[in-house]
Parts: sequence; structure tokens; C-alpha cells
Amino acid sequence: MRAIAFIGLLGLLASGCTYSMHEYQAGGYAAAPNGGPRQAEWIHARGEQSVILGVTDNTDYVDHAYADLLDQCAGEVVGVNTRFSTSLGFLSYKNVIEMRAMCLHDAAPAK
Amino acid sequence: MMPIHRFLPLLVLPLLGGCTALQSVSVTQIPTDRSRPVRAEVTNTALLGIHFDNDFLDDLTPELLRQCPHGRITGLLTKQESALYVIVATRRVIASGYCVYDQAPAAPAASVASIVLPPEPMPAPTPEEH
Repeated sequence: MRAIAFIGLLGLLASGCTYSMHEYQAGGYAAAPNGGPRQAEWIHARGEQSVILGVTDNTDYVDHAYADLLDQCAGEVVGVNTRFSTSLGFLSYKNVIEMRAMCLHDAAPAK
Repeated sequence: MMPIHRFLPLLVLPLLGGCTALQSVSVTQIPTDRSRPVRAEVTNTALLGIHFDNDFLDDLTPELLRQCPHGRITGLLTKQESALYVIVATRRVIASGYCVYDQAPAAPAASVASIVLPPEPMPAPTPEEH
């Protein structure tokens, strides 16, 4: 009976079915003035870090996600929504940072 | 039966590598002009993770302002992380962004109405809607 309980618990842990949301932030919706109407486009960047036994020495995945967001937009980026979460697995977990924002660029002139 | 001291290095070595964890992250809106990056970092180290105050944070804003005395700092990525090395705990806050000099400070900020928003992704229709 004890062995069955142990195997059941092990299977539950190994399935990695637990998620943890640490933080969600939305802000920066005041665009700088540039004179004319602008077109907005959704952009999205994601950074991940797999951690085994809790051992890691950096948080560089956040910087990579931020750099990825910048690479997608040469103009102004507003309305940045940032989500920081962790998905748990067997003796390991995965940190995930997601950034979703709007890229502003000049609207095409009306014909 | 293997003696436990044979496994001790395997248990201790990962701890010496340290455990760094992200506590908080935030991003403000990012400017078009990204030619003047600014960066500031403050740390606070304590034995056994016993910190007596949070005053180390007070140096962050002056350091950012020193790098951008007459401009506006935006596109600020702020990370708060903590690191544990056996018995030493370090808290670290890193802020990096851009110094922007506005051309026309008298103009009001653009309202949301002047921005053409992209269509939101629509949710999939339910069977009842067909």
C-alpha cells in the first residue's frame, strides 16, 4: 500500500502539472506625441529558464525577452504587459517571462 | 552500503554554484530613440539572509538621474533578484533603460483616441453560436 502511494505521488510530481503566477504588470499607455495618428501592432516576446534542483546563477532570460521585444519594433513600444510565472516539474522548474506590448508606427496616409 | 561522505560533494557542489531567483520584473514604455542607454545596479549582501534595512535601494534613482540629468528616463527594465550562496544572501536590483530628450515639451501627450489600435484576437466561437 505504501509503495502504491509512493508511486502515485511520484507520478503526480513527474507530470509537472503545477503552475505558479508570480506577477503580472500592465502599464505605460501614454504615448509620446508625434503629431499624427499612428498604427499599433501587437508584439510578443518570451524568455524561459529551466532550473534543475533549484541551481541557477542568473536571470538573463528576462534580458533576452526584453531584447527580443526591442528587436521587433523600431518605433515606440507602449502598453507593455509583463507576466512572470513558473511551471513546476519533477525536481525542476521552468521560469517564464512573457512580454506583450503594442508597437507604434506612423499610419499609412489615407488615399 | 556506501558511506554518505562519498555523496557529500555531489550535495554540496550545487550549493556552491548559488541559487539566483527573480523576485520581480517591470517594464515601462520603450522610446523610439534608444541611442542613450542608462543602467544602474544596487546590491545588498547579508549573512544568513538577515537584512536590517532596505536603504540600498535609495542609491538606485540618483544613479539613474546622474546618467540622464536633463532628459526623461523611459523604457526602464527593472529586475529584483536574490541570490543565495550557502550562508550569504544577496539582494540585487538592476534597472536599465533609455535617456530621452523630448523635442517639443509643450505638446500634450497623445491620447488613446489618436492611436489606431490593432484588432484584439477574437475568442473561438462556441458551438451554440453556430
